[in-house]
Amino acid sequence: MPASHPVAPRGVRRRALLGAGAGAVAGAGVGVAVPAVAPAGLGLAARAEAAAAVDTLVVLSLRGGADGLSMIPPIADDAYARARPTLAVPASAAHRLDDTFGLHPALAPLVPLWEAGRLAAVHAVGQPTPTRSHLDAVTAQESAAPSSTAGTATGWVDRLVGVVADASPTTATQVGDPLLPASMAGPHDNLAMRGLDAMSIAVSETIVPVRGWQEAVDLLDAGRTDDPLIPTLEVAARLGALPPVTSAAEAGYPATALGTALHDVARLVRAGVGVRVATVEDAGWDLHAGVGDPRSGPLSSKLDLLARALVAFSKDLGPELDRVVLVTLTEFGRRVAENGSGGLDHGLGSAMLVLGGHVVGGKVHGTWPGLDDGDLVDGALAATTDYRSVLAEILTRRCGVTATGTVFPGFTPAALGLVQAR
Amino acid sequence: MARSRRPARGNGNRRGQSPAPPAAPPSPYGVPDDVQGLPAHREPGPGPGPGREPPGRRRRAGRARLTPRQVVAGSLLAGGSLAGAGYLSARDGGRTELDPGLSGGRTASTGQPLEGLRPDGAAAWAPSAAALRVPGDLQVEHLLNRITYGPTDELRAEVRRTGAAAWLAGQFAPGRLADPGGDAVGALFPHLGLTTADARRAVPDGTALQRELAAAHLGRAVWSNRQLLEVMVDLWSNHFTIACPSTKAAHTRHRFDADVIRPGALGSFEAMLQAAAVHPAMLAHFDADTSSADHPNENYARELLEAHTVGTAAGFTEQDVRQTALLFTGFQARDGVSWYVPGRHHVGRIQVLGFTHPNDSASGGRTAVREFLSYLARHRATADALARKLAVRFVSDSPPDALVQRLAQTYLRNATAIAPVLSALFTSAEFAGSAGAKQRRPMERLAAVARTLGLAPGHDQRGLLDLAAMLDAAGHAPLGSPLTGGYPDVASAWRSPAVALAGFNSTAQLVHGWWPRTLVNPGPAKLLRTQPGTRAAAVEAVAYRVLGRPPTASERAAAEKLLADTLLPSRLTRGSWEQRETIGLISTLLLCSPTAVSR
Repeated sequence: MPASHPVAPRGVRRRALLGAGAGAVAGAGVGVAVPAVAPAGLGLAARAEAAAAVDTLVVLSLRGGADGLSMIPPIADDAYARARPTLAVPASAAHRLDDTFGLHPALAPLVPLWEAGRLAAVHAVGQPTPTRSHLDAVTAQESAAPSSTAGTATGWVDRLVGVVADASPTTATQVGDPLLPASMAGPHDNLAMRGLDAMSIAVSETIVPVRGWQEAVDLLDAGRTDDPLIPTLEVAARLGALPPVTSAAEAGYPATALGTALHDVARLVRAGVGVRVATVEDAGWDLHAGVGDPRSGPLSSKLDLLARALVAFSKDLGPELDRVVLVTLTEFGRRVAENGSGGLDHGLGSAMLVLGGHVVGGKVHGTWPGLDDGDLVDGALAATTDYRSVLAEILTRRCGVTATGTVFPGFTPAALGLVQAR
Repeated sequence: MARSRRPARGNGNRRGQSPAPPAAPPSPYGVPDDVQGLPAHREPGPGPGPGREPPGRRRRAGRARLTPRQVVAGSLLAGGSLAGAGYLSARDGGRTELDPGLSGGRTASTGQPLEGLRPDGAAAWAPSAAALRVPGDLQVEHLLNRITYGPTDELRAEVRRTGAAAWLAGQFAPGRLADPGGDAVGALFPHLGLTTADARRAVPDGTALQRELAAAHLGRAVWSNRQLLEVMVDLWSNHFTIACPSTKAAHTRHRFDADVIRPGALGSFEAMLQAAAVHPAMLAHFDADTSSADHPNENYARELLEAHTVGTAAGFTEQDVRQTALLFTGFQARDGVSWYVPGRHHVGRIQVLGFTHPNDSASGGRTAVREFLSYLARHRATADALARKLAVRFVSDSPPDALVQRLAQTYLRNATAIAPVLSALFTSAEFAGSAGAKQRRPMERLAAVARTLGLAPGHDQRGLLDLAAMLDAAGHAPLGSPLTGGYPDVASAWRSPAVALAGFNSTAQLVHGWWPRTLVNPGPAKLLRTQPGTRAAAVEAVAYRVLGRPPTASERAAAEKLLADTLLPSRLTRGSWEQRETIGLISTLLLCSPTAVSR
């Protein structure tokens, strides 16, 4: 796979494709059920093989700043309980993971995956340039490039699409939020949708074929437009034609936006429509107040819903879990000490969960910096593992990316031993 | 001391003027004993309100006749929420008379005096038509595209009749504009005029109540005559964003809209900031209502610095955030009332950016907060951030720096008053020269389509709730942004495949009248005044109707291409399904054209 892929201006690419008459905008994979979109020179069998060869990376962003010290509490560290007189997860309630760490009781549904070696954690993960502003932290994390400035920045997922040889509009797909994340900002046609159900076209194709709309919209401004509607109509038509599946509830997902989104991600993975990176966002982790009791409070509820969604996702995928690596990511962790609202203000280091068929599971990876006063950075857990190292290792070992210099410019990833090489 | 500052209901929000602090607020909810005698924010109880007092009785010299709804909004402002006025009066030792030479002392939004929202008497004014030096080459279509949620044939005719300057001047004094469209929307959503306590009884589900607010917000954008006000309400709702629905502000979010945003939208920024900072919705949403000296909560502090005022460009540090959080300790809020508890306030010197305050007594904490907010409102970085925000909204996604600088100076020269900045903006060469440079955000696009098609709100909430829900597929529910600073106003932030698809789908549905079913929608059969007998005639007529001009050659070609791919005939029988569908498809297509989706 080439390390970089020349990118034509959007309009040129799109019009060339339109002109080719093959309707190939959906590119590799999307058209499995519709032969007309098969790109020249790459047959169905070859594409199926290519698809089987690499894993799909699922990035689940816990937005607002998830508290790694609750997810994977350092139950053996005395400083933990001292800093959180009401919010610390007691050692007696946690599921013991090793000599240092436990698992939050609400994450207990994940224990079978942990013990089966399908689930791992990485602790004290963070960003190289710490900021405690949500907006800045999310932007920095998703651009994952130094000195990017607003308006010109590209995101790491978009750069990844640039190094994927057979990229299509579904190579990078966000499910749940129709607005493209900052990680997908850039020159490529990336997809963001509220859900597969929303990918439909209001005007029946029996009245106007998709191609009719595409060509008419293209003509509207004498072909000068680069209207994302043009490729999207085709993607919508094809995704709308995916075979029906059982509902998210029937598949065992909790009735949350996260459950619905992961259900759609599993459907996309199984359909083999060429999704290489799927992103999902889960809001509501910014618990400045009312974190609540570790056994029954609001954070406990969030973790319970997260755990049940992940369990359902792995069951839903079945053997296909071998072709998936899911990571949880968050813009920053929470402060070590609790505040006066029974909550936790913005911190730095947090923990990631890593789920997949080829994860070196049952283990807390990373380097524990400690929680004593001298260990903290402005009252927060120090970050000893750069989140880009986690992503880079998965991309190179599991997702068929040979080098991550373009995806994470100026960054040399550390080897973590988190996933098995293909 | 000129005129009595007595608000519609005296609830004692006048520290420094009353020798003895008024009694603490009624405490049926277990308000702590050490509450300082001044509520930071208080809703009106059984005072003047809808149906309780004839509007006319509230008239004083120079005041316009008010609708009951306006009385509610105005009384809230002049009453409890305007902590800013109390502070400034205390500092200045007296009130400054309103300048009768300007707008007659009415708020832009309600016709009520801006007592609270006018810290120095110069804050709120509406320019006269003569004072608005609208450039001669300013196109009416451009003006309407920018100042409103989309031109309509009626509006075009009105501006041609009155002239651009007169129409624009009228928009600066929305309280004087008759507003049957906005009133019709308001009548569908009576819960939004209720106090927090009454609203909780009427609509126990706070999420449902906030959906009503979002739907009414969209409805006013579509049908209100006070279009500039509605555009600014949307802008400030994003600026002071409290995501709607908010769990923590479940039954106060609608009050924030009524108490702070609507009355303040064309007034003084400082007054709006002061009112916003202590509103129960803001305190609860950002956890400032539980922040104490022992355990300060930084959530609101960071939002205040980053989103509401100076912005990250000011280079504030984590230490500044912590200091701000310490200063903001001591507020509490419950059931639509907020107050200040000295015993919970951090005492000790505060330094944030260039602001220092001894903050040496618990009882003085409230005053220190007011002074800090005043400092922030008048900070150069705040001026720059607000000037840029307004220029981005009304000129382009990357406005010229020179324009931003001029606007920032106007803002500071006018003591943070918003209207003079807008006035300078709308009469600038940069504004006149930027036609079509902005993309309509999803809600703006939906509102423009609804306005163009001549829809009406229907007889219950359902249609508007469904219309608002159409924006979910675009990730742009009205008032719904969870992001710091609200929905970004630059196209690169929201342009996406799903947004494009959602825009197309909702346009097709509204054009055909498929959805929402309970909106009054004439449908494609009644869209045109004529009955085109051919495909080509239909293209001409639809372009006039939905774009306000003849079709371009490209648009003709596009429509021909679209219809050529269908089974529809090129000769159309009057009143036929084929004629209706032809009109519907052409309308859908042209409402997706660059002209229609930009402004």
